[in-house]
Amino acid sequence: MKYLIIFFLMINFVYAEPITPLPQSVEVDDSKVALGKKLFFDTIVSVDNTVSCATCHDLENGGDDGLDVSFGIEGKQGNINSPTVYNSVYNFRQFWNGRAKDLSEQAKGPIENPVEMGNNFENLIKTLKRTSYKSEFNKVYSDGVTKENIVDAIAEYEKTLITPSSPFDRYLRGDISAITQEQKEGYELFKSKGCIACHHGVNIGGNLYNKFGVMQNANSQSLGRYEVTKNEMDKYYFKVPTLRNIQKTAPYLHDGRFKHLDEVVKFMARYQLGRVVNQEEIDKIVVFLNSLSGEIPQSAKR
Amino acid sequence: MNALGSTEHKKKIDVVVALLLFFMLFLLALFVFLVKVDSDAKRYSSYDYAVSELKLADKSFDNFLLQQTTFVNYDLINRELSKFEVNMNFLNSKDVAGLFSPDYLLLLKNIAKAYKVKHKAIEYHKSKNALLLNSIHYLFDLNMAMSESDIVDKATLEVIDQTLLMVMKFYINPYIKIEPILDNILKLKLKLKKNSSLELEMFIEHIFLNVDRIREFSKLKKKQEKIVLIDAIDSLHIYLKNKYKEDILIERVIVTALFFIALVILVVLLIVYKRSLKMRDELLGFSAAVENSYNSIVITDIDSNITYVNDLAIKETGYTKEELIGQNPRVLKSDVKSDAFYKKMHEDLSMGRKWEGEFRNKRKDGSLFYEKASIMPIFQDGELTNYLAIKLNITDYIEEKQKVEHMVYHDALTSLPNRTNIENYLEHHLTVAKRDNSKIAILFIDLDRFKTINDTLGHDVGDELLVECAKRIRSALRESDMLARVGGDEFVVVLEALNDEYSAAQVCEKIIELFQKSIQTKAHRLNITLSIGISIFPDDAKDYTALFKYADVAMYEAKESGRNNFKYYKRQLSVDAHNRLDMEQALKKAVTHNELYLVYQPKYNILEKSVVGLEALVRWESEKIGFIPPDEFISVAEDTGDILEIGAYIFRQACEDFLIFQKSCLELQSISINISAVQLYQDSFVDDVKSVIKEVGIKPQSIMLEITESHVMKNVTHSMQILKSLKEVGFKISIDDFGTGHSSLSYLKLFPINELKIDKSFVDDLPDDQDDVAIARAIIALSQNMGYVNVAEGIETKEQEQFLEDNGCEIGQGYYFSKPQTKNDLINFFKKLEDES
Repeated sequence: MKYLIIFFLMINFVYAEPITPLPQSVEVDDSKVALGKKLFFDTIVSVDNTVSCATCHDLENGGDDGLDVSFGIEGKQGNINSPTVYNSVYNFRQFWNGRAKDLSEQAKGPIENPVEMGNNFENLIKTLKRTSYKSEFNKVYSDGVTKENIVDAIAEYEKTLITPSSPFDRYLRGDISAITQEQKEGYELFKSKGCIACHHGVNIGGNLYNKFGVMQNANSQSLGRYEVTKNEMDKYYFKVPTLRNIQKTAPYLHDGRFKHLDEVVKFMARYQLGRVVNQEEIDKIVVFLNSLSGEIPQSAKR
Repeated sequence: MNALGSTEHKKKIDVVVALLLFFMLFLLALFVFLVKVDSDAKRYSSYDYAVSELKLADKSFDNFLLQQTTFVNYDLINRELSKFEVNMNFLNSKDVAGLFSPDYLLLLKNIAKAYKVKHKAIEYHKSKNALLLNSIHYLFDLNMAMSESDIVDKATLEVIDQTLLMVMKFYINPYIKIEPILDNILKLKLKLKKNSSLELEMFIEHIFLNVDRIREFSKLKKKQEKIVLIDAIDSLHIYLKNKYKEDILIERVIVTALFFIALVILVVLLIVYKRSLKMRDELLGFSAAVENSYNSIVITDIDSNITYVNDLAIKETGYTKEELIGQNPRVLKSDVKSDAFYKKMHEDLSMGRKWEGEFRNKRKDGSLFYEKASIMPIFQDGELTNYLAIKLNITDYIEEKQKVEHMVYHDALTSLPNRTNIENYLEHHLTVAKRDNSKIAILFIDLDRFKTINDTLGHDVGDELLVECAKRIRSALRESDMLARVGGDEFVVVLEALNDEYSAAQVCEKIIELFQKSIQTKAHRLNITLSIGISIFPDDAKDYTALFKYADVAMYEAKESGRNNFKYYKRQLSVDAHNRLDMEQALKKAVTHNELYLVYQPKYNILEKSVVGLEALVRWESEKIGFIPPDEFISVAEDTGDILEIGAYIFRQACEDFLIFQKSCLELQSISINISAVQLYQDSFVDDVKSVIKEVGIKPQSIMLEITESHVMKNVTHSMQILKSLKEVGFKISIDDFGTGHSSLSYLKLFPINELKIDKSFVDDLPDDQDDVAIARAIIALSQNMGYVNVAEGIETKEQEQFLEDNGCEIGQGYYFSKPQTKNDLINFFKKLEDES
């Protein structure tokens, strides 16, 4: 009986590596990227010229802002922790609640969000047309400055924001010495404790929704996906976030409730997996998670 | 042959071009449709591919949904989802959806709807799968941990194992009862109360969760079974397949139709081509036949411009093909044929009738040739388009024919017409002469003693002599006179339109004269004389046989009377003719031998019996033949032309004498001089008389020119001109013998006349003959009305004078008053008159 069960489990986990390394590069339109990059760093997109995309997505520091929740124009406070922009192209949906299908749809959100950039596209287009952007857009897009072209350019730029060649990726590609023994053990724990069930794939997460607080109520203010679908079943469902560069994107969880990774790991084991893990195991997993930090891409530099 | 049938040819070409264009058009259409079919096939295959992708994706969705506790990398299912969406977007794009009916969109909407549900299920499945997987995984972890340690007792462990097994069963078959599981849980919970254990607590928690989740799964599964995404996709697939079949069927029908139409056109083209090949062969045959024909063949267009000539036509005419094409055939025309001939031909042709005839055409080098031609108009579709001339050169034939004809009608030696010819000639010409009331003389000429020459000197010399004789006789004749050789040494001359019988004598004289000179043959100098017999038509006979016979008779008479001489068939004529010839001879010397002299008859005022003028009259006292009355010799002189010399003598002499007469008779006003028509029509006449009066010193007003009425009326316009110029000089004009010349009064009125002389014949029977009385009175009245002086001639009796006086005639002339007198007698007469008065 036991052997049957062991066999049962074997076929579940053994076959292939559940995590795939990031590709070294993505295919993009360079002229769009250049335009998108300029927009990404330009505060002109906000209504009062104070906030840019880079304000909340600091590319030098993990692609987020290091705050529990983000601040927009006039110091307005948001209600959610800013997720990293790095590798976001590999997320199956954007935003914590998955309300944006892809990057360009995502880019529309903050611009018109009154507590983020507080702008509207009508105004933004007018503003851009008064500047050199007009001719730059005309060069790249036949129809010049439009809502779709603005977000398309930004999305195109964001595609380039990937962090390949993390130690773990190098390990996956065959460099067995890229990570430490401890990290390897951490990875085994990561798999055997069941983290891998949600955090896997190229982005180590970001490819499904799941409930926040599976075993017991996790005390979340945000209702997650329910806010989008108003479906009872979707209460407290959030997009499973990526664990890439997790070391650099504190604070953690959608409400930024933890500042340290071991806390999160412990919290996750209890609330999500319903497991008991000891400190040694937690430490190993954290060490493993540290191996997921990749190289900041060239395009991220100003 | 290209000249012919060109329009038909053109029509055929047009048809062929049209057919070819159609053919190309259909080929093009065929090509376009084939391209369309191909692109449609590609298009549909891309739709098919997209739909197949949808189906595959759906398969993997189903596959995924079946996997409850298997670890799945969600990236894979996400990839399938986005693949599904990409294909849906493709099928929903304007480029695709726009081509189909709203049914298609409905089908797509159904798919999208089903997909939405399925997508949702997949998302839940992902969450549940992750949790369940984890949970089960953990349960076994726990189980193992618990069984390996002594956290729980054996009995409990057994319950745990049993529970786990039940959960597994439940997992495999969610429809089994879960109560045993719940019972076991209760048992374990009791255990837990006795013996607190975190592991057991967790185990229970997870079992609960698992049972819950498996339930949820089976619920979801039931829901999933209701999802008919694959059916919706299948519907679309069937729709597209049908649509494709429909489209392809229509296109196939069109393509097939186009193909067959093109095929039909091709077949028609082939038939046309075959036909034109056949026609070309036929034409080539015809062309060769025409080219090598022994006839000249010329084709012209409707405006008579040459469009075709065959080789023979080029050879015959001497022109090159290039010179002839485009020309009017009249370049070949000689002037031999009359205009009427060509007019008739053109008339026939323009009426559309075939014309046949002979041309006398001219080559490029100017030489003439005969052509027998038939020209026919060519009609195409009832319209005259061309003329075709087929001509045969018949020059050789004609020339041969002419030679034969010549031989039949001509004497081989002299080339003169022969007896047959002259008989034919006469037969015709006698009829004409009879109709014209004119005379014809037949001269029968025989060479004297020719037989002797022939016998002694040989036939060659005789022949030579005959040829020379023929030449000499011919040279004495007018162009229109006919000369024929009718026997060995016999010739016949036909003289037509004779003035009188004596003209024949003149011709004879001329011929005989020509033979006074000896004839030089190659070896001999020969003297030969002729004897000529003359018969006159219609006086002697009315048919040529008799005329020949009589001329022959007359010729023998001439021979008998000593040869070298001519005789008329009528003896008296011979005499007269010889007399007349004598007179002509004598007359030639009359002026130079001073044999002529003038007498003058006074013209007198009938009322006053006083002389007012004189008429000069000529007299001839020949040394040889004695006195000849003027009415005999004047007419002969007019015939011979001697009248000019005589007239000039009379004019000058009369003028000179008049100056003398004027001295002895002071009343003398004018001298009347008769002018012959021959003189009058002499171009130099006016100048001549002008110079004479100047020389003599006489005023032209003193001279009355008397002209016979009949002479004036011969040529009215010419006469009028001359008379006007004479009048301008100052001469007076008198019309002599008035009443005999059929004057038209309307002309008379126009002549510049001073005097009218009533002819003696009207005066003779006055006053007894009532006709003459009427005429005399009429003339006198006419003169008075027109303002002419009136003179009556030949007054011989008292009664005549009295009548004229009574009827108002002013001037008289005649024996009653005075006969014509010589110069000296007249001067005495004047003296006597003066004495009497």
